[in-house]
Parts: sequence; structure tokens; C-alpha cells
Amino acid sequence: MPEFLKDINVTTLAAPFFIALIILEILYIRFARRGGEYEARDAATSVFMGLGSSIIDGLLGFISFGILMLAYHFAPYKLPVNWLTGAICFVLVDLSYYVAHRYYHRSRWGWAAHVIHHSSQHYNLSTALRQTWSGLLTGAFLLYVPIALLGFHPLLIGFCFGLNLIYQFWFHTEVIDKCPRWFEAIMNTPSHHRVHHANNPRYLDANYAGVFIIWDKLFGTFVAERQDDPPRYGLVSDLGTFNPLRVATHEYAGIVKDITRPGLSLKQRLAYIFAEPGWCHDGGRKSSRQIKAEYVARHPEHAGQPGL
Amino acid sequence: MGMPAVIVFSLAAIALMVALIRLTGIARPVRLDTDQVRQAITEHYEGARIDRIVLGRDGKGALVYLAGDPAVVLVRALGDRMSVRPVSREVLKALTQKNDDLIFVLHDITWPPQHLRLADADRCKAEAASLHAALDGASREDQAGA
Repeated sequence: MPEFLKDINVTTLAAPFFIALIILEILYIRFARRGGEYEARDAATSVFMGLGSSIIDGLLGFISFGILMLAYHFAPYKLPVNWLTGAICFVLVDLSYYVAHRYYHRSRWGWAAHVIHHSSQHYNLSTALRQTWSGLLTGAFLLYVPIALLGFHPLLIGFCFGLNLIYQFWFHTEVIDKCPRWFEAIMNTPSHHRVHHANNPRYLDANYAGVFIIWDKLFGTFVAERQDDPPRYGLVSDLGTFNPLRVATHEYAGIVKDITRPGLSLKQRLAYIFAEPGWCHDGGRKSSRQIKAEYVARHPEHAGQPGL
Repeated sequence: MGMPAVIVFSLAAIALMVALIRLTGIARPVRLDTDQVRQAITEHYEGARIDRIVLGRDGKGALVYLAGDPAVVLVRALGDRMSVRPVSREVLKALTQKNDDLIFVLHDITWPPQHLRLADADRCKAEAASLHAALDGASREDQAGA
């Protein structure tokens, strides 16, 4: 294992560049009078959430790393670390990220952690730093175990995961409209990810990709941004607070409230934890599928369009 | 970078960013008016018919009566954006009055107590009575529907 992979945390190293780019984006918006919006408390909450996430990952990262090391121990063949295995590992990590991200959106247990990232009504570079404090609880790191079993060293997996997150920073912006066509076809871009952060019915549960948008195209979750339906950012039910503690824990509080309701069956209680976000035994809330269906019922002319 | 350095750096970055946003004046806090409230309602409840809008004097909140489900909605200004919550008997934890403030407390940790500043204490009493009547009506309709 190359020495450079030990004791290297690429996302922490990138932090000064993240902040520098946020400052540049603010100045660009100020002087160009286009390219998005910033709100001081919203942006402060986002960066604070990022700080909390870094601290918790730093303290608890050994758990997921330990499990990956255990899996690697059982790998029948240990691959060397070189440019080729690094590149393959990067692609596999991105595929696992796609699966994990899809799980975050399709199961309330994953959503309870990931909702934090979607809780801002703004879409700017600071939003990229609005990260969960409870990623470990989701168990999504288990989706990277197969990569370790294939013989890729966990340090390389961690390094590729860090690069993946760094790539994801730059496209949280409205400053860039569209990238060159070939790039939009293969890579995740600001346009594709604006769709992912939007709460317009057609855009819900779309574009889960980290780096390569091809995963969404392959697995049928790709929706292109439309000029006639500009993205509205945030949650279906937006938060009424900037308080980081409430932002970090509100969905867990909702789960506890739901599963302790009187008169529910065990199946219903489990569904409140693991079923799709918005699932409700009495129709009091709506899942994204129901929101889309209701939208199509009101706008039958849009039926069959991507995302609907 | 060690953990203490990360913390100091991040807090300094937050301070710098907030100062820059304020100095450049790019954030424009919302002061609610009826048009903005209508827009928020339209975005969240497409096709909903608004019966009445009660705007807070400070432009930070509004109480909206709709014809249909939900019957009552709270709107609050949140920085330069708005946020919306339907209000029902089950959701409303407490409704209190302090001078000319009507204070809504919901069973919802994402919605801190909301103060709706009205013209005077009498107006608060009248709005509280209207709200209770609307919530009771909605609750009866729900039971009839069930």
C-alpha cells in the first residue's frame, strides 16, 4: 500500500479550496447579478453541518473502515495499487455511491440521514457542505464491502470516495448553466444536480449520480432539467428553522413520533422506519410517487414525460 | 489538518462568509405581503382557493384560510425564502396570546413557535376564535369523510 494513502483525508485537504470557491461565488453573484442566491444564516448552517459531519466522521470513521478491512482480509486476491486499479476502484466506488444515494432517497431510514443535504431552499456551493451527521447509522458503507471483497484496499476505496465527494462540490451552483454536450452526456453537472435538489414533482427522486451521470441513464432515474419547469429547491415540506440540531435530527424525531403512535401493527411501525419517505398508514402524507401521480392527474398533458 | 484546526478554520470560514454575504447585500430578507403569501400557497397547494389571509404586521408570518384541505396554513418568512405548514387540531400543540402577538406552537420540531403580530389584543382574540372555528370545522369534515 503506497504511503501517500495513509493519513490522507482528501476532503479535509480540499476544505480551504471549498471556502475560497464559496467566496468567489458570492462575489460573482454580487457583481454579475446572476447565478443564484445566498442567505447568511442558511449558508452558515450549511457550513456548520459540514463541520459537524467532518468531526463525526473523524471520530467514528474507524468503524466503517474496520468493517472494510475485515472484508478485505477475506478477499481471495489482493489487488496492487496502481493507476489502473485506482481508476477501476474509482468507477466502482461511484457505482456504489449511486446505489447508496438511491437507498437514501427510497428508504426513510436512509432519508433521515440524507434529508439534511436537501434541507436548504438554496442551491449554491455552501449547500454542498450541508452534510449528514448520522451517515454511519444508515449502514450505507456496507455497499462498499463488495469492492473490498474484490481485493481493493480500503485505503484506496476511502481515497476514491474522498475524490468522489470533492468532485461533487463544484456542481452545487447556479452560476454554471450547461456544460459542453459531451460532458453533460457522461458526467454529473450543475444542471443534472439542480434537478436532483429540486422539489418539483417531475424532478423528485431523479439523478442520484455522484460523478458519472451514466448510472442514472442506465438505471432509468435520469431526468433532464427543463427551461419550462425551473427547479425549486428544498424539501416537499420545507423546514421552518436554521437551527443545526433541528436540521440534523428532525426526521429521526419524526420516525420516533410515528412508530409510537397507538394502534399500529408491527408491519406499519416498520414501514414508518424503512418504507419510502412520505409513506403513511392513513394517507396523511404523500410519497414522491403519490405526488407525481397527483401532478399528472392535474396535468394529464404532461403524462409520460421524463420523471412523471 | 488536525481536528482543532478544522474546527477553528470552519468557524472562521463561517464568520467570513456571513460577513461577506451581509456586506455585499446579496441576501434580501422576505417581508411577507399578500402576493408573496399567495405565491407560496400556489406552489404548495396548486389550485387551492384562498379564503382569507391574515398578515403579521412585521411581515414575518401569515395565517391563511383555504377552502378545502388543508383548511388552515401558516406561512413564515425564513431569511429570503418562505416556509409553509398546514395546521390541524392534531398538529396544533398550543395557541397563546401575548399582548398583540398570537403564538402558534406546533407538534413539529422543524417549526419553532411562530409569533403572528396583529393590530392589537382584540384582533388576536378574534383571530384565535376564527382559527378554532376553522379547525373544528375541518376536524368535523375529516370525521365525516372517514
